Amino acid sequence: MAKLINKIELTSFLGGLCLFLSAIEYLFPRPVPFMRLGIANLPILFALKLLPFPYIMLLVLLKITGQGLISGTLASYVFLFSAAGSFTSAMVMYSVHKIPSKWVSLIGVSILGALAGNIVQLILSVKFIFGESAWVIAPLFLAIGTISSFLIGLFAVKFIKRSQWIFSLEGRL
Amino acid sequence: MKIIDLTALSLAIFLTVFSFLSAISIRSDSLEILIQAGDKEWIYPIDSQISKVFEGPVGETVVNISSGIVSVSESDCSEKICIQSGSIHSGGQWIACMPNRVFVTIRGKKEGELDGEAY
Repeated sequence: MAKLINKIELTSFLGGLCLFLSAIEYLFPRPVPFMRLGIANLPILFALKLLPFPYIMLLVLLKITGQGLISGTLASYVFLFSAAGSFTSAMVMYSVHKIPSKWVSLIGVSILGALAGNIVQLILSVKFIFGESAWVIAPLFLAIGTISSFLIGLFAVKFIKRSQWIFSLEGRL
Repeated sequence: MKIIDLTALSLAIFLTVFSFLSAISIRSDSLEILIQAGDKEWIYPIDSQISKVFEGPVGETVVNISSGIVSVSESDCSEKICIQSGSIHSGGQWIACMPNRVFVTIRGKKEGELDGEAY
C-alpha cells in the first residue's frame, strides 16, 4: 500500500473498493433500485481526507458506474437517478467536510450527504417517475439512509483513527 | 459526536419521523388501491379481485389484487425487485417497479374521486 502515493492510482484503488462494496450491497434486498445501504460510500468518505475535489468527483463516477454494472441498470434511466443522488451527496459531503473538524466529524458529513442524496432522489421519483403518491416511500427511504449513514460515518471515524494506511497516505499525495 | 454531527442526526431523525407520521395518518377502515403506470393512474376498491397488465417503458407488469392483498406477479424489468417485494395489505404500504414506472400503494379513500370500477 505504501506505493499508492499517486492521486490517480489512489482514485482507481478506491473505485475498485466501491465496486467490491457495491457487490456486497447488492446482496441485501431493497424495495427500489436506488434504495441502497450506502456502504459503497465508505471509500468516498476516505477520499475526502485524501484527495482533491476533481478526483473525488471522478471516484463518484467510478462508484455509480460500478453499481450500474453490478445491478444491470447502467444503460437505463435508473443510472441517471443514482448519478443525481450520488453527485449531490458527494458535493454536500465535500462542503460539510470543509467546516473545521472541531465542529463536525465524518459522522455528520455522512448523515448530511445521505440526507441530501436521498431527498434529491425522492423529489426526482415523485416528479419524474411515479407521481405524488410516491411520497409514501419517504419514511422507509429516510430511515434506512439515516441509520446506515450514521453507522458508516462512525465506522469511517474509527477506521481513519486506527489505520496505518490512511496515516501513511495523508500529506503524501 | 460533535455539534454538527448531532444537529445532522437530529434533522435526519426529525424528517424520518415526520414523513412516517404523515404516512400512517391513513384510516384503515376506508382503503383503496392506487396504481400508477407511466402518467396514468388507476384506483381500485380494496376488495377487488383482479389481475391486470400495466404497460411501461420496459414492457409489462402484472398486478394482482385478491381479498385486499396486492402483489406483482410478473414484470419485464431486469431486477424483479417489485416481485420480490411480496404482497402488501395495509394502508401506506407500497410496491414499486422503477424501471417500468409502475407504482402500487394502498391509501385512504379520497372524497369525490371515482374508483377504477365506477362507470
